[in-house]
Amino acid sequence: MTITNDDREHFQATVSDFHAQPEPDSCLPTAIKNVLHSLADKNGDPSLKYSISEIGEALNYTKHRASASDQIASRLDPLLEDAGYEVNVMIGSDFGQLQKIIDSEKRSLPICELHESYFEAVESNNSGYNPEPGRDGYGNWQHVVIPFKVNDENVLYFDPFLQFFHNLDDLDESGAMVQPITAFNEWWSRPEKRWTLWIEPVKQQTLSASFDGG
Amino acid sequence: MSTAETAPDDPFKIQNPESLEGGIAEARLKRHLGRGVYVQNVSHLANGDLEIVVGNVSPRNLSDCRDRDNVLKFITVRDVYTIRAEATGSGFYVIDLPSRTDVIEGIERREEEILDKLDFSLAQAIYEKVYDLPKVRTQLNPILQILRWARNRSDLTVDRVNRNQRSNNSREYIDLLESFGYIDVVDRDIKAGERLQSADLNEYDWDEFGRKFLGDVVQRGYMTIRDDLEISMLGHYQKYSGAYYYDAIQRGDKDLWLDIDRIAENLEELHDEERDSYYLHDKLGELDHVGVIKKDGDLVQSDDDVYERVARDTPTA
Repeated sequence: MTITNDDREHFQATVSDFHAQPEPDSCLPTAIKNVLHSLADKNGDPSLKYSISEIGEALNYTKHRASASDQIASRLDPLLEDAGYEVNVMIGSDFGQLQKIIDSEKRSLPICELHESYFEAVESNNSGYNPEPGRDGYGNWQHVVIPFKVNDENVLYFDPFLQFFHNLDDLDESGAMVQPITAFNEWWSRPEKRWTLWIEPVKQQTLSASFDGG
Repeated sequence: MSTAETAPDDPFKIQNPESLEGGIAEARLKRHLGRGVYVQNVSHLANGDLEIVVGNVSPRNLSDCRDRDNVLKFITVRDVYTIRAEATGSGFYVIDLPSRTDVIEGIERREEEILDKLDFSLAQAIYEKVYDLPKVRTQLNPILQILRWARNRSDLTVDRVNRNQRSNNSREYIDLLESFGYIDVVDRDIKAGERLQSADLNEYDWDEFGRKFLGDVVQRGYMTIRDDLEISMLGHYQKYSGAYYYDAIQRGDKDLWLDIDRIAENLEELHDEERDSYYLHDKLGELDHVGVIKKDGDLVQSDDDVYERVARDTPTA
């Protein structure tokens, strides 16, 4: 199974509405805004639409100082509870679960955190921007990306830094990154094992139960 | 924006100090303190406790505006905060977790230090050149006037300076010149000091003496003259050149081209000063004229000598 043209078209249609991150260190608030925005459109619930600065405030974002992401559910849930949604964070998710979140009608797209070694790959693959380490490398900066499709071989995902540097309409491959699943797994597994965040309706049953049920 | 921070309910305990360096404990610190905070160094103290020094990285768009090479540079600031972890004696350490606000203050403090050093090394690197700008001359005139009078007249007094200069700063100029040894003030009489007497003014005219004097001021009293004496032209020009050189030094590339818009953004970020691009065009044009930077239309690049000097004297972490 490969990444199909349909996958790419779906990806293109979604990311063309994504808002570019205003600062290089605002990837998390921007990613959350964007997945909420597309969830709002998908579910017809405009109360899920927040501005980047509203999300940033919830995450204590400060320009050039990034944001905080501990206790992230208690930071964000107050914004979501009126609409009946909540934040989910899973450590140790697998690729099957990731695709399940992506396919779900009710859930937002997932956000994954990648190890700093991802930047070395971006740099050497000439992938559309050039990360350069500082005096102490990348300072273990964990970048966030939004996966759109997982198959046996590859992961198709959105890297917000591409949109920071490029007008996505001008990018041939629609700003997508496609990387081998083995490489993605390596970046996604350190130091926290496959940290994944998504938003879904307040649970009636636990997510693990829904996964167990197939 | 509120910076209130809720501390986690449970104490932050670690068993393995190595997990602080690229491991799970560092990841937890980053979640609490900010994505850019990283563990720079962990040392084991004599009493068994750990001392954890953290730094901060911040990704910055350092793309060349001519080549459009989309460079995202991770700017490092070291030594922003020191965290203690107490050895409990039962195989783990309890980390005294600071608030995000405290660590951000540490980052700001260090960034200001780096900026001050950039400012000072730029002042040293460019004073000889900016001295050729008429506005800088004009502002130095009253000081040079006092020096000239002190050298050539035997009956100069503080009151006489005040009568002949309309500057509100005359008294400060006199104090500065006295503290630098250019003049001696006894009661209210002003005489040439050792530094002024020893200057061989036959060899170069007052103009060149002014340049030498400015160099002396920059070496020994730059902060005073900039901040207290309101000789704004001095700080002025290196602020504008600094808004270019900051990025060139951080990227380590003297050939970096930045456009006026990026320089305007930097000026606002580094000095909280908003300037229209017309204004910056003029200022950068003057700096190009005296060889502090190179300007090509909308784009600005380093002068090789200035870059070398500033790069040598400015820490980038």
